[in-house]
Amino acid sequence: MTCDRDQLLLLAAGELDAADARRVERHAAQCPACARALAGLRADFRAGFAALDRLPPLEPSGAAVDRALAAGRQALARRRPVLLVTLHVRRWALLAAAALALVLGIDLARGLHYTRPRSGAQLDQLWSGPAGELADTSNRAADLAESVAADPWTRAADMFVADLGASNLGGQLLDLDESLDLLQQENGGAKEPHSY
Amino acid sequence: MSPQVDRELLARLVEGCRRGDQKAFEQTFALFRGPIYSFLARSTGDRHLAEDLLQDVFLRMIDNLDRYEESGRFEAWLFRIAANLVRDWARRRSHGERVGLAAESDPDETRTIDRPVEAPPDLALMKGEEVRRLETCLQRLDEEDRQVLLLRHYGDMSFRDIASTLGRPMGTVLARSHRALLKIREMMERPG
Repeated sequence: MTCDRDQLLLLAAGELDAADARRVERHAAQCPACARALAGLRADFRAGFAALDRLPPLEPSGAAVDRALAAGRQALARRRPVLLVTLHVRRWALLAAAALALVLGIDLARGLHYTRPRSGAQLDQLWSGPAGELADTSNRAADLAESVAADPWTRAADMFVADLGASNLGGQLLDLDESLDLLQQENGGAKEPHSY
Repeated sequence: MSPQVDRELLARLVEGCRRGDQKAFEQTFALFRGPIYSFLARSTGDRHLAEDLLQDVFLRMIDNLDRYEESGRFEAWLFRIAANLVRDWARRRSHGERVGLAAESDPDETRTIDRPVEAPPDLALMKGEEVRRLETCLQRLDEEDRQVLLLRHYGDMSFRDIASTLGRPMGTVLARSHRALLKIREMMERPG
């Protein structure tokens, strides 16, 4: 590092981060001119602000305090109705945004990952692919996806549909159920009874 | 100097003010009125004007609370409002206008701007001469140099924040600060 008065000024004023401060200190330790300058600057800042410390604090008059408080109270009262409306609108905007994000996320997951399974391999893929992807959508979905992967005939699908109501994802599970029926009929097996 | 305030308490007070809570406003005002007023009085050199500006600072605070983002630097934000008001006042003064609400309410009063702020009587008795000289030194400084020192002293603002508040490069602000401190020392050491 070369001699840099601005850096010394920054260091003396306490405005350098720890790494830069160490770098400038190291330089000053090896450069007598900078060391002297740094000591001088530090002394100037210390003494100058110590002088300002000797100025007595000032207080406004009682009448000025009363005036300011009264004006502040009026301003707060004017502000309150607007504020409540703002907060109300914000809350609803937030809820609407969350709902929209959920619907879009579900549609995205469906559009990207769902294809009606027609074979055992496709079903395996569905369990390992879309079920895993859905797990990312929410913790709730993760729990359910795990249950479905472990045992397709658990009540997990029921819970899923109940959770999502008439959403597209619920529809997907119904489609999935029909696919399983078809596969099992093709393989000569019978699906265990269930109800939605 | 800026009071050492519990951060959580301050965040609660700010939130209270946002909700229009008068108690929260009163507490916030009580916490900061001294340092803000000292800053205003010593920046303008006029205690009556400073009282008007003090009210304006807190009104602007209320009006702009929605723009304040909680960052643990409420004091710096408040002092920035105060500094902007002082700057507006200085600008108007330089255009030869009469300044402040009080000027409108007492049109016959001739204001002496840049006169040293008088110390309270008891302190004036104790160390009156030194304080008077210091006040005089401050008022003799270039206006922006004085602002830099007072924002640092009362607002406890970093030079980086001061630079941003005054719209000046950091190096300029630091150099101004150092120069102003040297001037004060020199004036204080000068006899008489």
